[in-house]
Amino acid sequence: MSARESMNMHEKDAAAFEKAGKLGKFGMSDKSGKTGTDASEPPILVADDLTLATASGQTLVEGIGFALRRGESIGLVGESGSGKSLTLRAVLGLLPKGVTITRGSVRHSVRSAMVFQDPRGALDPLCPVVKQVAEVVRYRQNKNRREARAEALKLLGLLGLPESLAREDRYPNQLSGGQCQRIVIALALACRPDILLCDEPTTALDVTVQRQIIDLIARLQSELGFAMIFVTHNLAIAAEMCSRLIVMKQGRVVEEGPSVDVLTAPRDPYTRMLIEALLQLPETAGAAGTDPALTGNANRLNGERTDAEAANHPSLSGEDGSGASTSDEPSAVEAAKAPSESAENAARKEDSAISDSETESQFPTLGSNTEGEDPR
Amino acid sequence: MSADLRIEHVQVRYGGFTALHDLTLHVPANTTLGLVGESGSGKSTLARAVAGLIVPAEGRMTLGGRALDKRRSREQRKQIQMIFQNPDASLNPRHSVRGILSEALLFHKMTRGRAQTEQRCRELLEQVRLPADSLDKYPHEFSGGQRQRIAIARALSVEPELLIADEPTSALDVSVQRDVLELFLEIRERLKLTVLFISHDLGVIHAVSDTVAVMRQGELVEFAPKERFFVRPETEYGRELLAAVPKMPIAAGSAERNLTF
Repeated sequence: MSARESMNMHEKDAAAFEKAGKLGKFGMSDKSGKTGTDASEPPILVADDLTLATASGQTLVEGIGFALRRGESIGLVGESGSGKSLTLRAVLGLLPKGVTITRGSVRHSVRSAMVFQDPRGALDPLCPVVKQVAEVVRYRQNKNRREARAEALKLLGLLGLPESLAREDRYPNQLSGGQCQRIVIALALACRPDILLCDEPTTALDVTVQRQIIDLIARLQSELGFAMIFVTHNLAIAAEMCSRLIVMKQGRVVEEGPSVDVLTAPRDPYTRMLIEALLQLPETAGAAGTDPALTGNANRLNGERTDAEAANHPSLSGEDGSGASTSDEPSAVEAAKAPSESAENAARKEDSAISDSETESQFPTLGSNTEGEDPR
Repeated sequence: MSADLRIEHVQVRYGGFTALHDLTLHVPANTTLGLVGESGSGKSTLARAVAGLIVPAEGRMTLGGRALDKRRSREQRKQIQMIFQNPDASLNPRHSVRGILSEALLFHKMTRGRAQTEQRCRELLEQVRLPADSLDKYPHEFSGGQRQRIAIARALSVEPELLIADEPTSALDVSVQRDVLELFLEIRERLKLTVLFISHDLGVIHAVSDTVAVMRQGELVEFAPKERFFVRPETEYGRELLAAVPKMPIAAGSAERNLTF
């Protein structure tokens, strides 16, 4: 997929997602129904005072309780060792050896399926991927081989995998990490789940691929309407995906509530710490211009930027004696591809001059007149 | 005591595959370059080439004006130290912390006599804020963040001029990541290090670097001061990367939460 195509896809998904987010927000502002779904409908999953412990008596998860309604998504947030993955495994009945439910229960009457963190670990390396998906379809949907294969290919198409897989099946190691994660999601969807359990599905992926997978899961959820429990340690992702958050620490729930409330007015110091630990980025110029609420922020950042530049400049020019630092461009450092092989032998100063001009022609700067426009 | 790193027209090939295409960049002394890019973009290859773990097919690299060749002097090996992503894999589980920290000191003959080595190890532990009684413990007795601190202490033990950090916080929890980054920045200031910092997490890059280099498929796509890159990325790919970062729904107060040092 070319970069352009992926951008287009991203735009479309983002638009759809924004809509979904707005709907979610409406639901949240309405305090009687905690989410956008119908509150009168009975929950499809109830965890009641769930307590998990090892055989030696060590309590790993204590007194977790929540209810999940159809189409709703709950985020379980916490650091490693907080028991979020164990809770998820208890829902699926896949507790590791030696860990048992000692008190409380998880009750659900519907099908659930899980997307694991490490896509390569979740796939059979010795089995081609279409075959793997078809196998799950065949057993979970009671189909014959041919129907199962057709269904599997349909699923893979839904997930945006290349059509060439239909002609030539491939092994997991021949696919990228993002593609493998799509296969894992396809495997989960092949079970026709009512609840999709996601255990850090994007942690092992790059930012751009992570964005694609998040958008994909959000799109699938709006199309197929499954409920979701999303485990992550990244509050920003949880906030995007879920209408309700449960913050866990060392096996206990420390805070619970609608995402917006938890993030804007965290009551527990641990939640506050998690939010503070997130490394925020400044708004990019184009994005900031579109939202009047953010322009003040952007101005502040711009001011900061010039300050920082002013602070940086003397040190840079002081240490770097080459001609590059005297140029108007804030970069005292040159970066460019070589114009030709012969430049290798050129003097350093000359070289830097060539590369500077090359940089400018190659990367046209965002003019001030385009600043107000939204590049997305 | 730090030196600038200059990379000129460096090309690295793995068999028939070209992992780095003709890369040129310059890291001024006492600054941090943040290298960003997806997996497979050649970030780690560049780090390895600079560290001398792989030999580039073409091009030249200099550190403080002296060429970094295929064969390096003991002095040059000492100048460049690396922190790896996964401390579980980069620390020998059968060596005590004393062994880990003193190995490089002894190899490079940094200290005279056992007492001085011991003294230096204690200093290093203090520098990374680990208790002094850690010397006789083994890596498995520490948490992930503490292990990464040991790795940092080891890298600092021989007083390097260039530090290469290859995703040093990717394996850590967010709060631990914050602590390790704070420590890292403090040490960088104190020891005046030149740093090549690799990460695919743009939040981390924003917190630590002075300049940002974006790589894609072995090529340099964008190279700009941090302030400019994060506010006004110049390339489509740079914008795409920034747009892909999951953001908190509410921007209010977010600016105050920035790591500022």
